[in-house]
Amino acid sequence: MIRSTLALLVLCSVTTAKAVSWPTYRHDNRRNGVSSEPLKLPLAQAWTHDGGAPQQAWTGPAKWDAFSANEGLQSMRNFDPCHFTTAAHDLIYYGSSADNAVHCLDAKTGNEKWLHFTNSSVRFPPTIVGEKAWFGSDDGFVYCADALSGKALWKKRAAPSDRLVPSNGKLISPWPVRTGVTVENGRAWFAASLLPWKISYLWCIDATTAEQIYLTEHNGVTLQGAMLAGGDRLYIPQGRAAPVVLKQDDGKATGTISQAGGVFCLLTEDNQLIAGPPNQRERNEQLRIADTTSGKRIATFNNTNRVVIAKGKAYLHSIDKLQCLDLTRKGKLEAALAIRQAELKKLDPKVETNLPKIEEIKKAISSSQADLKKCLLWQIPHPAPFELVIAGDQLIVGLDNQVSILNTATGKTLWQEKVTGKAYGLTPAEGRLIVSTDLGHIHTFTAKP
Amino acid sequence: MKSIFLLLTTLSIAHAGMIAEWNPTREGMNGQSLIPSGEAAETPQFDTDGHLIFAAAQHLTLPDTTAKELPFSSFAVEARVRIDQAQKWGSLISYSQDNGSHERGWILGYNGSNFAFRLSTGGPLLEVAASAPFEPGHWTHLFATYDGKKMSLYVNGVLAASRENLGPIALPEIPTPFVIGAYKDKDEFYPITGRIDFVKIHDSQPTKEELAAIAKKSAGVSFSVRPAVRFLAPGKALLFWEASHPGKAIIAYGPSRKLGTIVESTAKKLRHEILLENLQPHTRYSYRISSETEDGPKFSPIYEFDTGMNYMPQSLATQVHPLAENYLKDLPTQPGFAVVVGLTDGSLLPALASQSQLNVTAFDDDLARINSLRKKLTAKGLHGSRITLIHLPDLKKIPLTSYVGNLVCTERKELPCPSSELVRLTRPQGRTALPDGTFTTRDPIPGSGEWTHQYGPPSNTAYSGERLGGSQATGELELQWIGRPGANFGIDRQPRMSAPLATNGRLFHQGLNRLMALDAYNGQILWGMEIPDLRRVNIPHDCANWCADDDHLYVAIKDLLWVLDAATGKRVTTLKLTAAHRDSHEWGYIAHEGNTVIGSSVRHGAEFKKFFGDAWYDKVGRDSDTANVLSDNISGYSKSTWKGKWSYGRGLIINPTISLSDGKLCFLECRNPDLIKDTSGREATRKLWKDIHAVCLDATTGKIIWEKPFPKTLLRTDEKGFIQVSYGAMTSEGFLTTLSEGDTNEQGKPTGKGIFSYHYFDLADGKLRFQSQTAWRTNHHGSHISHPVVYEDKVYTDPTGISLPEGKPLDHKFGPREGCSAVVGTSYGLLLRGIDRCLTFWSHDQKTPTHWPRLRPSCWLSFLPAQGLFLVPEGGGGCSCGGWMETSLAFIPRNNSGITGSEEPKK
Repeated sequence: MIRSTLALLVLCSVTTAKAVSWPTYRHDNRRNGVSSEPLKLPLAQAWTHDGGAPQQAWTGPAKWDAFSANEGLQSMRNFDPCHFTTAAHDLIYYGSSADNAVHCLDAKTGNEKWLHFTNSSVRFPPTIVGEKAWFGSDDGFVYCADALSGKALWKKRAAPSDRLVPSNGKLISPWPVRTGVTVENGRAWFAASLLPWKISYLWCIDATTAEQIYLTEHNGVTLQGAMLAGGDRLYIPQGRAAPVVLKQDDGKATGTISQAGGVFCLLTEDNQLIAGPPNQRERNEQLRIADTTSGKRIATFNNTNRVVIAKGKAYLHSIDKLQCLDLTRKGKLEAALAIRQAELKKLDPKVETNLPKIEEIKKAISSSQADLKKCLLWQIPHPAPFELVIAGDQLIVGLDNQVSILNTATGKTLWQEKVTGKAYGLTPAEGRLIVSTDLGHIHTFTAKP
Repeated sequence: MKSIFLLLTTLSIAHAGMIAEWNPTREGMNGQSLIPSGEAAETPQFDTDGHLIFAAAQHLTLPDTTAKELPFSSFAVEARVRIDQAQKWGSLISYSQDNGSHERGWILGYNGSNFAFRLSTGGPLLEVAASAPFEPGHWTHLFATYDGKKMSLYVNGVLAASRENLGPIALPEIPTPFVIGAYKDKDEFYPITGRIDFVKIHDSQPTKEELAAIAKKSAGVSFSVRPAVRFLAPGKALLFWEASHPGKAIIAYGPSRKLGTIVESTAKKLRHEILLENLQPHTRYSYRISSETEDGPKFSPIYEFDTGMNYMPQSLATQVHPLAENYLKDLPTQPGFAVVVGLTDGSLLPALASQSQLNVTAFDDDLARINSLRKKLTAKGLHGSRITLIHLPDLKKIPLTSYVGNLVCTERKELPCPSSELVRLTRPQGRTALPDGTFTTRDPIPGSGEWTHQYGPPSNTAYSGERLGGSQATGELELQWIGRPGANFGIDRQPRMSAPLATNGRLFHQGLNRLMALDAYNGQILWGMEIPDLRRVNIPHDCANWCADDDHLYVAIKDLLWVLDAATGKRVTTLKLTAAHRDSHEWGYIAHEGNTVIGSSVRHGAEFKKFFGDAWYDKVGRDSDTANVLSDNISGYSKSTWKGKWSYGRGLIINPTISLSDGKLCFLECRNPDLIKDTSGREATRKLWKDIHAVCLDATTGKIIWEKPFPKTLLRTDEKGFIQVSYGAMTSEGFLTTLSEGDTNEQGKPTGKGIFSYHYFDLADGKLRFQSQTAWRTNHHGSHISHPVVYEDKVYTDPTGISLPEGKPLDHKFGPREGCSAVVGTSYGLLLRGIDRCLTFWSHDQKTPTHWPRLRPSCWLSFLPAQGLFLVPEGGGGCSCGGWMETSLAFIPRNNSGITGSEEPKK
């Protein structure tokens, strides 16, 4: 069952006097993509920034698996399709896979405040904690810079050597840092990893002193995609393999979530992992909800690759329609339904005395199934989005050359505007909407005066 | 016959025998209803030409009374269709049930990418299918006929296939939907993706004149040289072709099948080149060529190219620097890496980048200078793409793997590191430029081999002499580069396609109707080309469609051999088949040695191209998918003149047996006159193994050196057993044939048992030195078609092999071999798909395997030990069955990589 993620948001956001920040990739360490603060509408474009076309780590998937007659394979390592942004202190940050730098822009003007270069691509935006900006690079290092000035505070080699090899016209470490940096409870985690036949390294350091707390080695994995933290665990995507689960306190792996896959991952307050696509065998795009304790699949969202959850409601797209589901109610009903179905299974219909009870349970099941249909609160015809996030009562939708804002209660479009390219990155923060596209553009919208 | 009669009164009659017609078009439908009767499953959507879009679950259901009242003993179905996506069980019109062993009715449709007509007369549905795959997106006219004795399928008015079938059609006994645009029966539903212009049913057969008229009308643009697209720069590509007749030529192209942009060729003669500019990145473009002829405009199929495969470097406005012109003088103009160690003011970097196609990477120890330059370059959009600066506090040791730079130099007057360090970073044939003005060219990595043909050298040994630095285990090899091309390049798991090639520092790789050249040492993509007619699959039963030498890449495209400049991809010339075969044959075998290029002719349609659906070419026993492709002749051409020198044609040459070494060309040839006359050029019948000869020709003159009747096969007889596959290979002493012979039971079914039988002919006189055999390990996943790895003293086939020259079975096994790929050799071990179906290195000395987890090769051969490296271009990323890496990469022996000491994190 999935409950509201609201409490988390308050904990993770840097709240200024004016507005709520977006301090890390998809807002928080559970990668929920939910901000508590709505944007003041209508918005108008304040400025755009051309960050150069992203140079993605991996190409797209094969056109098909022709032997299996399986078409429309989904990309499972598309973790860097645009220059994702973070926002705090009226500044906007992004890491560039194009020019190897972390950029800090003045949120009001788009002017560059500072640039901090690394020796290779930066694939996730910096995590902003207080006045520190944390980021990893394909050069195998992790960096910490002053978030306001860009001044280097320190850098640490996460890879076991300085060795560089060519990759797509650049040089990278055979152990690039492609997990971003996750900072929580005074600790920072990151992984250096790429080749499954080489040892991968998970680092945990003190977020204040940068002293090593532990370093663990992992065989047979390729840790790539934004790391998640929740409960006492870390979750690291692997793309075409299931995400790895590790203990926060000592960095030891406890296993994988076999029902999950891909690099789109979010962790609910109940520590349920929603991830996808789980593999390339499915005929449609899927997100699966898995219980992180048992690893079992709880539910499947078919024909979708993005979901955002807030206040017990899930917003997702499936077959030409954008929809809102009451997840809290759906979870309760499904739990009750499962109990009744189990009860029914135990009752032998050949025993006459069971018949009244069987009839009673069947009626209850029928009633629950009817109620389940009511969990669909609204749905509207809508093209498939590249990203969904929430700001207060607003559902923000990234589309091809467009961004839209819908009312979460009704699905009614409140505002929409054109952008250049596919809108993969959405950051509603500090009264602004920042949109990152696959062509490398960053559009910033603010409330019309 | 009431409903049929009704149809006749309401439809236009194009043919005296036509009894029904449906037009799934805007005009042929009324809302969701088809005229005169029928219903669309979903709200109709029409394309700009007014055709109903068959996509998702859309299909049309016709009254089944119509199906029941059709003539059962003789009829014909005619359709004009456009299939956009191959699939299993594609049906254009069907009235059929296919439920286990109960099969009834008839279907006109396609299976995979081949049009097919199926019909039951009481038994299973019998099928006739076109051997050539259809062109997705291209309109095709189909005529399927049945006269109570024979069923036939005509594609564009030309007979594609026919077979006997006797009696009236057996219709389904249970309620069955009569459907256009999907296969649908009691429990199966497979809608199509494409368009249907019309479907007509006739109660009589088409006449020869009608078919000839259809053939004339259906003929598309006639090419002298088929079209291709070569990428030139970001957003820019060149489309080129040669027409067979002069006349106005126009192309239409765009990012969808709607095309859009129209460009008229300005060429006055036959050779057309059209520059395509402002192309969107990462976009799959469609294009179509049309030409004016005396019979009106003719159109090509709709072809595709994908700008996601365009990795050409961005051009820069020229900047000058006193050192740049000197450093680059006479250096090949091609993408790659320039490594600059130590800067002064950095002005050399943009000069090098702008005067070459190299990515310039500079190492410097002054962080302030580095950051200043980075900012300037970033402002111009150059940093990280054409120029990258890396800060390194100590320049004495550069932490870069060895053999990377096409040019390695410094901007300083004094070297900041030993000159040996610059040399270490230079790739073979690359230039080390020292401050004193001296240049050195890097030697090849000692013990390097060249993989110029499908199985290494043209002798097919699957061993190029590559020593891999003495490596015998995966841990002795380190990553040299990683990156493109990725999973979107190929045909899912590369279904037994031609192997990549590696020679003269270049790596060539084929994908889905495309090829690419890379720098073998740094992975930089040198050029890429999209060629719609490139594809050839099922190489174990045929031969590769390409080979390479130091300067050229030779690629068989339809009836021509394209000779491409290996450095740029530009077409140098084309070679033609012998005159007698130009209209009827396609280019088959291709190899070269010295000044001679060897080519062969195969009958049109004999090559395997199908890859969609169950096209794995792994079945055991005699089967159409495991037939051998045969050449009618073989010819020699001069590299100096590009003219033919000789031609030999007597029997049917079995393509996978053709081997070339040291001026001798050996093969097995079938001289069975019945087969020579009747074969389609692809043969699985017993007739192939009658009257077989081993032949050795002089490769420079084509004269016979020796020819010997092939001895009796060891397991197969005229009555039982079969030859699964046959290979030829040559050592310095002999011509080795390896036949995979399978056993059958009394019912003629494969027992699952079989042998590899070896025959070793003395190269000098053809005398048979020995016959020998080893047993199959198993009969699936390529084990039973294992291609031999041939050393001078032994031969390996799964799971063991024989000694040479004695022919005695080896006393050891190799492996484990898992999955379906081939095996190749180095001086110290075998490389194969092994443990956990991942790439595995089996040591000759230790006789133990080590593997690279999650590194999946293709279904035949996508990994090469060559150039001093182990090259693994992407070959399995489209296999949806596992957590594969989806990338190309190369390994270098650790002792050549520049790594010193252990690699452990600084705690």
